[in-house]
Amino acid sequence: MKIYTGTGDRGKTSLFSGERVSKSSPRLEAYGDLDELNSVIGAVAAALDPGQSGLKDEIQAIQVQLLESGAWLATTPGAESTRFLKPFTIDPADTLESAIDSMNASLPELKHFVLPGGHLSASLAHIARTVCRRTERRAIELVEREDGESGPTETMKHILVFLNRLSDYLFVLARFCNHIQGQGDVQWGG
Amino acid sequence: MHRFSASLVDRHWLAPSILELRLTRPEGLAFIPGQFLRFLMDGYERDYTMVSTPDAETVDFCIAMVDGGRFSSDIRNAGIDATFQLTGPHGHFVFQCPANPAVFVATGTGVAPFVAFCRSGVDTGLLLHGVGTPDRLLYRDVLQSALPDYVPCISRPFERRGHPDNAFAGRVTHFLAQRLKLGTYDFYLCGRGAMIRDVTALIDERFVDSRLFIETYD
Repeated sequence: MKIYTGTGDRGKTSLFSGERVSKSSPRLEAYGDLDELNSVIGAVAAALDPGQSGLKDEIQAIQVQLLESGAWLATTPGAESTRFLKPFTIDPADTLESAIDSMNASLPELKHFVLPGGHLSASLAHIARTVCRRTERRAIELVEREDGESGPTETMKHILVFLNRLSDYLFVLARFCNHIQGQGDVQWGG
Repeated sequence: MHRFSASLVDRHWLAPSILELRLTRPEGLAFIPGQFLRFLMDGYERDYTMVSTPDAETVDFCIAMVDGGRFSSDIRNAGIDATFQLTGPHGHFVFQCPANPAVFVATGTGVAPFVAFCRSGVDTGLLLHGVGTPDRLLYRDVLQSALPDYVPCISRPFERRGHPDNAFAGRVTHFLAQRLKLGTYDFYLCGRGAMIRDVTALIDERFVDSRLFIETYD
């Protein structure tokens, strides 16, 4: 498969549902940020020690869910093309909650503000957390602009919950990464 | 996605260097016209769109033979009843509920998904089939009888006698630039990357707010 098509050279691209849109449209901004988020999360996985294969698998499963939610963001709500998309339910958000609880159980209680940093994997998880928050903001902006008074679709509601929960997961993951490296949190001294 | 085996039932020339391959219909295969199957060959894979309908007894493909091509050679040498391993169905290039008048644009064997559309009941829209010479116009009868507007676009000089009156002398891009009324359409493009790129540029320039569905053969 060729990587370049030349069909996006004039500042437009095609949505999965066929519409030609500007590359600066809110929909493109949203799934572009989702793509960035997925890339940073890949870097978190790459920075883990080889012994952390279980955590790597968990992170890769999240990357798959991000790709699947990206496909929804790249499709106009209600378009016929959505029949090719995998339904995005509330389950991935529920899975994140379980993972958060599981990591939290092994962490010391949080009694102070933490500074983003520490081990490389933890630092990358903090970057991923901030990109995730931005992605969530873009997705909300898209919903507010394009869905108007009709409100978001059920799928979009699930994606918004997933993104919100994912930034919590990434915060806890950052702490967990420092913890398993024996470094602990980088505390704010203020 | 599923994995299937299918045996060769028939193989015949549709045009110079273009074969139609007919395989037994794998049990359990369900697909939407326009989708393709992947041939798992010895050490390589090839994707081909079915020209047959989902309810046909065989699955049929039109395949351009390439000099020195591995698949071309394997297909030529395969005996009747030879078994192929396939996966699929793959792809999303299917006829959508129309939002605008449909314009189908194909070059060469890129006409395959449109043959499947027409055989499955699509009976509205303009089809441009770009070929170098008239003897490479595939499935003309199927396309012409299904669609009200079927225009072969023949890029090399040709003798008009014996060919459709409406044949256009020139490339599909020339037809779109010179003959298609400005407006908003649902474009379906299937063919080589250069055609896709050039037609997309025209769409962005002349047919703003159109929808665009693409299947690239490269």
